[in-house]
Amino acid sequence: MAGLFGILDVASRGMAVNQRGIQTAGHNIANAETPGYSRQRQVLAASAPLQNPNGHLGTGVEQLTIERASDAFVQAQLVKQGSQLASTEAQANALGLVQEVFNEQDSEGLSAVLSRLYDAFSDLASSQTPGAPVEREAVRAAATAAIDTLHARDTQLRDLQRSTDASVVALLPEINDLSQRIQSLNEEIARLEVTAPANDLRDQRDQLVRDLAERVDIATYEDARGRVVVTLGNGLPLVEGGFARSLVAVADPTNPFNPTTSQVRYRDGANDLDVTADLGGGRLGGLLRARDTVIAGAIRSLDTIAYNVAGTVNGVHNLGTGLNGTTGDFFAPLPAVEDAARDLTLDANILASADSIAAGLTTAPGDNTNALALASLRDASAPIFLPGDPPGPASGPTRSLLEHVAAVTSDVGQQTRTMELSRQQQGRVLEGLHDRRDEVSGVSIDEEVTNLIRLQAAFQANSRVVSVVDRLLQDVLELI
Amino acid sequence: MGIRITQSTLIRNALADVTRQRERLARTQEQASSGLRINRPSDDPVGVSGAMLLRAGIDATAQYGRNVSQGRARLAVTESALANAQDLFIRARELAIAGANGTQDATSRLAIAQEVEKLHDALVAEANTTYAGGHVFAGFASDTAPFVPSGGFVPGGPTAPTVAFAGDSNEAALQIDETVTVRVGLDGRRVFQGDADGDSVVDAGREDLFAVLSDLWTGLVNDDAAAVSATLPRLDTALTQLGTERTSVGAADAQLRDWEARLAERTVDLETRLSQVQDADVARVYSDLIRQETALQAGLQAMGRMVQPTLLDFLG
Repeated sequence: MAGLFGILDVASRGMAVNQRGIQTAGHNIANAETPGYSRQRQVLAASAPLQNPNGHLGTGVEQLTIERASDAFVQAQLVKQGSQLASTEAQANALGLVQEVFNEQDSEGLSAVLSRLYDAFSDLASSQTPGAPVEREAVRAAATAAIDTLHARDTQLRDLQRSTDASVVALLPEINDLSQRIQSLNEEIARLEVTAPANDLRDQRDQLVRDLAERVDIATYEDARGRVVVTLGNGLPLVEGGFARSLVAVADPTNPFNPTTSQVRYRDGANDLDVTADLGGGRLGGLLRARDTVIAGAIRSLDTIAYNVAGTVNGVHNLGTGLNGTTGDFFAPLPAVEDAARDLTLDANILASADSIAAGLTTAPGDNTNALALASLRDASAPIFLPGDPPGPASGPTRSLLEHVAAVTSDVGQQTRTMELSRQQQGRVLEGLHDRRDEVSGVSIDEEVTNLIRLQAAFQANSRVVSVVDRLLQDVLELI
Repeated sequence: MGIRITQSTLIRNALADVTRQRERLARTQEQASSGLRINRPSDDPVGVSGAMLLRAGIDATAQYGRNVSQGRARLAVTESALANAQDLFIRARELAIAGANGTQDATSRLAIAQEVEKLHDALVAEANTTYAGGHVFAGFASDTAPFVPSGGFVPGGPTAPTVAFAGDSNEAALQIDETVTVRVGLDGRRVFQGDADGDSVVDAGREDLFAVLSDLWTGLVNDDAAAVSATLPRLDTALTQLGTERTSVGAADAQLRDWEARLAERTVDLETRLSQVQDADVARVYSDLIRQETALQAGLQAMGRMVQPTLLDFLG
């Protein structure tokens, strides 16, 4: 009798295991489209046999655990590449907008307004009317147009910098929230895994880690209790042990641009550190690089154009004399290359009267000598002053201003192109990694349905064992 | 076990492919609608700087063209003033020959002198010719008339007017190319008063045109045939002097005319090069457009079939 009941045990355990198998397949099918889900499978083994000198007797099946199909290498690569791509995307987006500021293919640009300033000087030189009153006004108008264009471009770039900074500030709460959620999942996983792997929670955590990596450059490893430790690119822990640290934005008083941008500070109980310069990857790193390198660089490039235009024009203008006898600068002198595009204005004398424009070396109304020299600046090459050069000598390449504008535009285009190509290339790498992940972890409906059929048959076979034992038991009972 | 391909892999990849095709198509459509190969600096960073410099070159060439037109207009006015002055002196020479003739008497010489007065006035007017409000023979002091006669013709004395030069001897130049300037101004003192070095003394081989006419007048009023005939070689010198200046003006104008043609040629050349750098190859763009549209349609159709059958469809 005991033996027969033992067989019932075997069959019922088999049915229970098959039932769990069906549930697992159902769980997989239900989560086929759940982001970050890894398919799960039963790990089965024959249960411990009964010791018997005539041969150990099998006791049926046992479910050891339910494991999830995941590849730690693919996960690590997804974290790394996702971080890189997000950074590249943020920079490529910023560059795309920066290059529109310099784009002259479909609109009036810096090079066109500068050309017109030289045209105006040339018209002033070739005017046949004594004193050239009309041409003087035209010079002033062309210079004002050049100044306005530089100001407008500068404002566009600074607005772009400010909105990028706003994105940085808005991103930090998202990062802190993700750290918080990873930290609480850590605790739950550690608690649950005392018994068995917490597959679904691990999937969720992996997904959150990937989401976090898209936002900020991180590295991860698991501690002995299955809790994931998340550190920033510079090694500072973001999630470790019982609590998460936070990143906060603070206005940066040392920022050379106006309006000021924000610093990213790392805070835990004991530390309050500026980590702005350490964050390279993720959307945060990309936005910071866009703000502090890409856009800042573009603003400074614009400054070199403004400073050198003012410098070369003033250099010649100073040699001449206005119709009204005044001498001096044409543009108000600039102390430094930095912020030149923002601060460029006409000299007070020129603003007061167009007769102050030094067309000649004398006050004679037909003297066009200096206007000729001003007009010939169009093709004059000189070393370009770069940020930090004044009052020292210019350290830039020797070129004319129009060549400089073209070179700056070409440089912005080159940067944009390079970043755009990396974005495409990294996007493909990430697509490949997602394919790899699907290959290992993705749910195939065909496979799950096949499993269902298999398990259904196994369940039926087990129930057949029960009915056989049942008949045997009836036979035995009839003997009584 | 082979590579496991799940449905979501297929759908994700198909979506990525279609997105890429759309991006490519959008670029091609942009080229087709703008007609430009370069629509933003990143399309061709090297080409874009070339295009900018070519556009700047076209702009500069147009400016040089305007300068040449200005110069030619001024030279035309100058030339016409010199031609008129020459005509005046041809008449003056005829009058001098007539006045030197022994058959003339004091009355007829006085009549001739009156015509010489008119010639003198006309010469002052020509020497003070203006273009666009500027006196072409005044140098840089173009706002004031350079030749100022003082005193009139008084037969009683007789006293003839003297002409003072109020301008300067600067000859204005124009920029007609990157490094080329051309002189379009003439030193009025040299042209009309024979004083190139500005020492207020008539240079050797030149003549003060106003003084020659005044002397002719004086000779006629004084009924002095010898004095009148003495002005004849001076009148010849004056005519040569005007002729020389007129030739140099003509030469400058010819130079500008040639330059005008050269600048026009250069504009065509620069525009051709700009077009080569930045314009889209229309035939190619349209064939690309058709090819990419077809590819996108095929991609979308494939995606429509992507919701492919699973095993479930075949289980009863």
